[in-house]
Order: sequence, then C-alpha cells, then structure tokens
Amino acid sequence: MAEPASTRLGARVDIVDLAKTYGPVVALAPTTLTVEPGEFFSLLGPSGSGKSTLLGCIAGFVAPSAGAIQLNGADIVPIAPYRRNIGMVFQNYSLFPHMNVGDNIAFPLRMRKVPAAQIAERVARALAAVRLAGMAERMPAQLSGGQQQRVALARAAVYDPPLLLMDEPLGALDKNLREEMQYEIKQFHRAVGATVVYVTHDQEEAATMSDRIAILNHGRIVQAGGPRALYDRPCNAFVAAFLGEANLFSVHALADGGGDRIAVQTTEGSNLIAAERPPGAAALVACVRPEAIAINDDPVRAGDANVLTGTVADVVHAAGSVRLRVRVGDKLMTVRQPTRRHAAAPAIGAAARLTWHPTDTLLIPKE
Amino acid sequence: MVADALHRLARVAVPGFAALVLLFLILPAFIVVPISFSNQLYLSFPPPGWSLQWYQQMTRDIAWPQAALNSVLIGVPTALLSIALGAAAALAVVRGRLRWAALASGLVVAPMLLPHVIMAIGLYPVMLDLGLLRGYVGVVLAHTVVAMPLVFITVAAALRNHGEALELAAMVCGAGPWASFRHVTWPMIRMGVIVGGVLAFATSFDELMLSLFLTGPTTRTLPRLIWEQLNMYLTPTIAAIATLIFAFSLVLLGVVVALQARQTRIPARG
Repeated sequence: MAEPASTRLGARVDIVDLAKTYGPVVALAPTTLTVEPGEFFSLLGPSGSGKSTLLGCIAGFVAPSAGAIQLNGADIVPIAPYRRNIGMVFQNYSLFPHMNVGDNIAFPLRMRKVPAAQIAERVARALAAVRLAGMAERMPAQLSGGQQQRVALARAAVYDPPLLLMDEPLGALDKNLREEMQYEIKQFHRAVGATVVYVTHDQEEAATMSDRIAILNHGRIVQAGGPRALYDRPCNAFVAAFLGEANLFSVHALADGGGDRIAVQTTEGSNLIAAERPPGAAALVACVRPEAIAINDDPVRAGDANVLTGTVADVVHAAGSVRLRVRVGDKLMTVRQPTRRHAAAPAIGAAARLTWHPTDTLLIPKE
Repeated sequence: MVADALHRLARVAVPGFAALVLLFLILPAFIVVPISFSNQLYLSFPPPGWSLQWYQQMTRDIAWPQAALNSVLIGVPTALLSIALGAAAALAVVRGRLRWAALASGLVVAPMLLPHVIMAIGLYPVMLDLGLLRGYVGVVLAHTVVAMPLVFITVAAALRNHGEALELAAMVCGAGPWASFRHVTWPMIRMGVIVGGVLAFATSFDELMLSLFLTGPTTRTLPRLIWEQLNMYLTPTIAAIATLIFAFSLVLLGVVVALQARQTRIPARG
C-alpha cells in the first residue's frame, strides 16, 4: 500500500436510461446514474432488486435492452466485454484453479501482450500491494478465503483499469474477516484511484465503505446519496427500513402542534410530535431510529418530547450495545443504546417509558 | 434392544450382500481366464488340465490379429470423432443458453438407450445407398452415434462442475472467446474429454450389433469374429481371445480410474 494516492485513473461512469427486460419481466427499469471519477459507489438492495443486472450490463455479461453506459463519455455497450478494459472481483473469487497465484495475476497482462519482463515486475508489485509477496507459486486451493480474495483484487487491478467492479466480493467470508477486508479494499481503492462500483446486499458494508450508495428495489433506484444523507433523510419507508433499523408508524393525520411543532396521529392511535413537515401530500409514515429513543430517562416536559409507554418484551446484549424490544400497544418498538458499565438494562416485563426529541420523528412518504 | 440388534445385523448384512452382488457381477468375467488355459477341446469349467495351446492356435490364425487391428482402426477414429462432436455438443448445451437445451441434451444421449439392433437395421440401407457398407467409414460413423454420448456426458459434467464464472472472469481479464477457451475452458474439461474418449473407444471396441450389420470380411472387428467363431467352433480359443480382451478392458478401466483420481486432486500447474 505504499503507492501514493492518485485520482488520474478513475473513470467517470454515466448510465443513461439503461434498461433490461426478459420478456415481460423487468430486471432493470430505465435507470440514469452518474458515478464520479475515483468514487466508491455501492449498489445496495435485496436480491432481485436489479443491482446485479446493472453490474452485469457494465461488465458486458448482460446485454441491455435500452440505454447507454458511458465510460469517460464513450458508450461501451457495443464493445465486447474483453475489450472494455474494466476490472472485476467476483463473489466466489473466480481464480483460475489450474494456474498458480502469479499466473492468475499475470493472465490479464498476457492477454494484453505485455512483454514478459514487464509482466514479472507488475505481478510482483501487485502481490506486494495486497500483502501476498512471495506467494506467487501457491495454487489458489492452498490459500484461505481472504487470501484468495486479495489475489482476485490484484488480478482485477494489475492492468490499471479505470473502473473496478465488485460483485459482493466479501459475501463468502466470515464476519471478522469481512470487516478486515472492507478496510483493505478501502485502502486499495485509495491507492489505485480507480472508480469502484460495488454491489452488496449488506447495508452496513455499503455504509462503511462507500462515498455514495444507490438503493435499489424492484429493478429501479429508489434513492442515491451519501450514507449519512440516506440515513438521515430517507426518501421513503423502504429506504428507511433497508438502511439501518427504523420504527415505522403509518400516519393517520397531521395537525398544527403549536410553535414549529407538528402533531402526528398514527393509525395505531399514538400521538407523536414532529418538527418538520414533508413537502408532498402522499401517504406518510413516521420514522424513529432506535438509537434516538431514550428509555426511562429523566422526566421531560409534556409537549416538548415524544413519550410512549410500554413493557419490555426482549433484551439483547450485543457487543457494545443493548437492543430492546418494547411493546407499545400492539406495536413492537426497537430501542438501541450503547452499553454503559454501571447502568442496568431494564428487565423483561418491566414498564418502560420511551422518549425522543421531535426532530427525531421523521415524516417521510410511504412509497 | 431389538432395534439395536437389527442395526448391528444390518451393519454386517448390508456390506455382505453388496460383496455378494459384486462377486455375482464380476465372477463370470473371470471364469474365461482358467478356461483359456484348458487342455480340453471344449469349453469346460473347471478345466481338468492346463495348456497354452489355445493361445498358440490364436496366434497361428491370421484372422485374429487382423480383427484386432480392425477394432483399433475403427475404435480410434470413433473416439476422436466422438470427442470433437461430443465436446462441442456439451459446450453448446451447457454454455450456449439454447432455448431447447434440455431437449437437445436428451437427443444426444438417446442413442445410448436405443437398442443397437434398431439402429443397425435403420443404418443398413442408408449405408448401402451411400456406398459406405462394409467399409471403415460407415461403421465409424455408426459407432460414433453410440459412443459420442459418453464424451458428451463427461464433458458436460466437467463444465457444470466449474460453472460459467471462470469464463466470465477470463473475459473481463481481456481474453476473447478463443483465448478464454484455450486458457480456461480447455484445462477445465481436458480430463473429461480424455476420459470420455477412452470410454468412447471402449464402446466401439466392444460393440457387436452395428459391426455385424455394417462391417465386411476385411473390416470385421474382434467382437464380430468372436461371434462368427462361436457359431462354428466352440473351442477354448474363444476363451483365450476373451481373456486378452478382458485384460485390455481392465487396462482401459485402470486408465479411466487413474485419470479421474488425478482430476479430484489439486489440479496440477497448467
């Protein structure tokens, strides 16, 4: 990782009205999207949301039904996949099992007719960049999952492609290794400076690694933006629930709550207070993030905060945080708090008073 | 208690039964070996005495080596043709995204299940019309029809085993269709091709019905000669030639087993 950061390699990707249909099935609705040079951009969504179709179109494995994909302004749709000069890392590594590590990494250079002396030098450099120096003679089957994925990374980047595609590259690794590799891929991205389009269904992974994320559902991009913006300002209930956890209430009616407050009546019959009125008039939901909720906090002035009372249904101690499920009427609410050494968590069955600030009641469109 | 006893009984009885079935399958093949060393004029088991006379007689008759040569001259081209067609068919069916892939695969494999006599009766007038009757070409074509499915099956299995991801990876790396086949697909299917080819050769080498209909006096194969000799004289010469064929088949089987064992180990550097 000693190479200096550079941005000159990254390509700008413009996806223009790109669509893919299989007969009557719409795998990807017309989609327009721009990825900036050098950006780490994630496509996040449940399986079948169209993220892999979109990636397949960029790589050239899937022929789009309509639209264009421009790399630095030039449409690559008519270009064969092996002439696109794009790098790709696959979920199952896809290392050639009959070639050793060095030959795997040399393969794209050999295909490009790079002189042998130069190949040896560049392979050695690529191996060092993924901390596998001296492993060139090993066979892929002799490597651990993490090492195999690092070889795949080296093979995808050894020819300095301006665009790197990654298709759930960490999906097959266990949790600890995955977090380590997330860090390594980020470092790698900074070192090579290529634009990265990264497909994942893991929202935490997307949030940790990406400059920007596009959230897909049913073959279309629902919302695109930075991880923080998507979390703070989800455009609808799907995004709110998919990126992070959310307590969602469907809204029955809104009324003036005095001052800049808005009184929210939910269909369950709870009364909440919000601070910001949404622009549209469509069906709304109120979204409250689990970490915004305080439990049995000091008394608050009525009208100044949201207050709901219920009983604790479940307490889960995760490393570093406590996750509670609190039954409020018919609704199970999720509350998450950092673990504090001297504070006891409420017991199951105990009464609990949930409070949160009006600015944490987010009114967003349902659809 | 009863269940435990039954379980213990089953642990002895099931392998025992399996061993008996294996013996039943294999033993008849081995019986020809002692008969071939008999000093009697007729096929009798167990032979009362031993001699090598039937092997000597076999070498004296020019018909046997000629038939053996014919079997090789027919078997080798059959294997090569089966490899070319079977591997191509497997690539098309497994990787080709064909609309009728399942049907095509069924049609390719069908000759394996079809009685050879039916094909022989059908092929006879066709080969006659084409002027290919009693020559090498006709019987090679016919044998290829029944041998190709074996290559198809082994190569298709190898392709399915590895999936398409490696070829996609090769493409992204800049390998065109031909380079991708040469550097990635071929090493994956190479062993399947060789094993399928050996099986195709063995099929041709063993085939009687099509050879009976389609070969002539100068192209007759070993199985056909055995058949003719069986009809005329039942001497232990038959057992001698059968023993040699048996030994040859065991060698082929050994080759296949060795290749498959090699395939399952860590692939060697390509």
